Amino acid sequence: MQMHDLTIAAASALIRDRRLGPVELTEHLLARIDRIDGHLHSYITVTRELAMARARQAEAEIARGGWKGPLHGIPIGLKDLYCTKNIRTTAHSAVLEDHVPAENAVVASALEDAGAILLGKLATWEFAIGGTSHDLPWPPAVNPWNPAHDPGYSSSGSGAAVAAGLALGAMGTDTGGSVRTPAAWCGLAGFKPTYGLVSRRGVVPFVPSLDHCGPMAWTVEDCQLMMDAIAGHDALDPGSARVPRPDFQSTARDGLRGRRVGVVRHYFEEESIAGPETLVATENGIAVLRERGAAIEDVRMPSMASYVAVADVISRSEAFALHEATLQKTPEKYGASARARLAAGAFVRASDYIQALRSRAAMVRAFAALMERFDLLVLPSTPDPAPLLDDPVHFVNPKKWLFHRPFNVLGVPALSACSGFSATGLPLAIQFVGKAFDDAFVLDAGRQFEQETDFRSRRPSLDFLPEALG
Amino acid sequence: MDNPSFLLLLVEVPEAVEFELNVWYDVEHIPEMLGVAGVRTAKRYASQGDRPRYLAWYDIDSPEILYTEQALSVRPQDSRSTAWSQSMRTKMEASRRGVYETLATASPGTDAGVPGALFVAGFESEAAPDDEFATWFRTDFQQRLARVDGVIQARWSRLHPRARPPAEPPGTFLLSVELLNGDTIASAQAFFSGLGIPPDLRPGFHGKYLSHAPCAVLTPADGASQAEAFASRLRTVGIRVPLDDARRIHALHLNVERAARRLERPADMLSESMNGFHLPLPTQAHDADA
Repeated sequence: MQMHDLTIAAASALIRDRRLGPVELTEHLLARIDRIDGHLHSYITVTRELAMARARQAEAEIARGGWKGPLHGIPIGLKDLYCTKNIRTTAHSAVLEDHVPAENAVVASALEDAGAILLGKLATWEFAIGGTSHDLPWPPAVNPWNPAHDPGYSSSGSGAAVAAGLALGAMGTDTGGSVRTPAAWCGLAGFKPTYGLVSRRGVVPFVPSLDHCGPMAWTVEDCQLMMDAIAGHDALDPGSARVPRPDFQSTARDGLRGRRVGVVRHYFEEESIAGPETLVATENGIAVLRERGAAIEDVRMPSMASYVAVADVISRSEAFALHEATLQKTPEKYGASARARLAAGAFVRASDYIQALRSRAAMVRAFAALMERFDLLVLPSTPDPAPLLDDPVHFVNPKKWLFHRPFNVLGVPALSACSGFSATGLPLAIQFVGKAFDDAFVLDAGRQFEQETDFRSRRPSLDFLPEALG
Repeated sequence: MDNPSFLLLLVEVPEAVEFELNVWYDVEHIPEMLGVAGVRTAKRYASQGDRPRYLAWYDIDSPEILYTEQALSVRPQDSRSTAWSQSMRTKMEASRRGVYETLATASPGTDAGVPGALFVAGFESEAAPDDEFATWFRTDFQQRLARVDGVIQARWSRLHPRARPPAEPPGTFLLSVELLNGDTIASAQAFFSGLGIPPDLRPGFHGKYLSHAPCAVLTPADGASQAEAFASRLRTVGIRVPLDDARRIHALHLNVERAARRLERPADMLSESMNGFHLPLPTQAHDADA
């Protein structure tokens, strides 16, 4: 194993025991970014000097016995929607090409306070909406498992960077699946927490009532460590919830014994059709939960189409409201795709938006009632492994919808974890969904699944690189 | 003067791809084709069982307009076409294609309007007595056709001699009958057998197709005026975009409208509102669970 293949948990133990220095680790990752990111395009901005300064500071603090915890000295990246003080934050758009925030996003500060080292700002879809675009100041990120393939929706740079060993963890945002999709297609763990558990203040918004900040890392355990640092109430985020902070390290001693797990089978067998490899991986994943003691039964939810209708109307409305003035003033600064998708919300009727919110509230109540019978739901994360980079099929074909958007509408915790590999060597993924604010259990179930399976030993070969750079 | 020409395309895709094929045609490919100089109309049809299932019909000025750089570059098999078009190309099965010239037309004159259905049948003949068939078409065939309700127009066509020979045409000769709607012919087979086909003609492919919304018949002017109308509407809210953008935004706008129509609504919103309805801010929804 090489240094860049370390999980956060493993690197952290070495750093705590002073067998690995943050300076050495940070230098190694910066050098690796220099060597290979020109082929992956995962970073928009690399904060080299700052990273080295923080690494030296962390090393000194730890040498003095001031180890702060598991993220101390851990190099990470932030999706370029997270505002960073004195560091350009672009949202991957020419609109914000020269935007240098005066303040950190709450999450950026929380990670800094925990001792994490920011390596840089990661590629996204333009304003998280634009799709794979080739008319922006920076190219789109590609998938490290195969650069012809899509790294997955808007936290694309976060997914690519962690998979390729260019950061040990990263933050993404998830409005319709944008943490879970790149996690799925890049073979990572990606967690969308309960709406309100992690502050969004200082993150360039897309659809405020559906936006979630979430961690992406090689393992579920690493996501738990990141959640420990970033969860918490923020009175200035209007969506923030005032709830007790969960203990993300808690692990049930008796596995999943007595836990009730619902399989949302009609979603992936009737509505959006999962491919044969995903189906097998999902059944294998369900078998793992059963072996851990869970009681498994099929469950039916309202149709995906009903959630998607609500999500479509809310997304187009809120996103247009945010961008209306800029679209009027400087439409030419957007890429064609983001411009079209944003302007598509110009004529949504106010009463339709109100009805969507009303439906959403009814869906939240109905889901809470359903979850009186279940502790966890399980289904694939995406119906198939990563498509080709510019293939729009998964975007328009309801038979291939990803299995994410219902859980943005509901605001409940949802985890994507690697569940195997396709014959073509691309990652497959399973999704665990829980009750609102039962985030710690969802992550614990995911960690148990991950520890019972052997999908974390395989990394992207990067054999497409022109020389042996891996 | 040239006989009228048209391009006929028949494609089959796996069921899982049908939705995407339709979106691709309506959002991208038909507008692109209407942008090609010399394309006069675009019509789309879908069968209820005959294969290939999807049929596109383009009236064109001449076969040559299909070989301009502009026309070639929007063909899905061309490397200059969009990524979406190229991806659709890989998903198409059993495509048939032919450029035809119309040798004779027959209009019973009783019905007119936008065709709601189309019957097509391809034929081969070892001898190629074009004139003889055209005569049959104008006499015996036309008499039989006059007894059928709802016929708008029938055409007798053959592969255009100036077009590049297609790999798998629907037929060297093509009989096409535009109908008011699909009710006119109970079954394509019955209709077909009542036509009194000359024995020299060997029937091959045939099928009955229904007009496929949203672009029943589109002309370049229609495409441009829809985009222009939507561009004007955007200007009313202060957003100025090129026509190409307006076309794309309009398609996305229609998707949101469809989503809004799918929303569940209480039968009596006013009564429900009296009984504890609150506008659900996200935090309220969550505090209830917390």
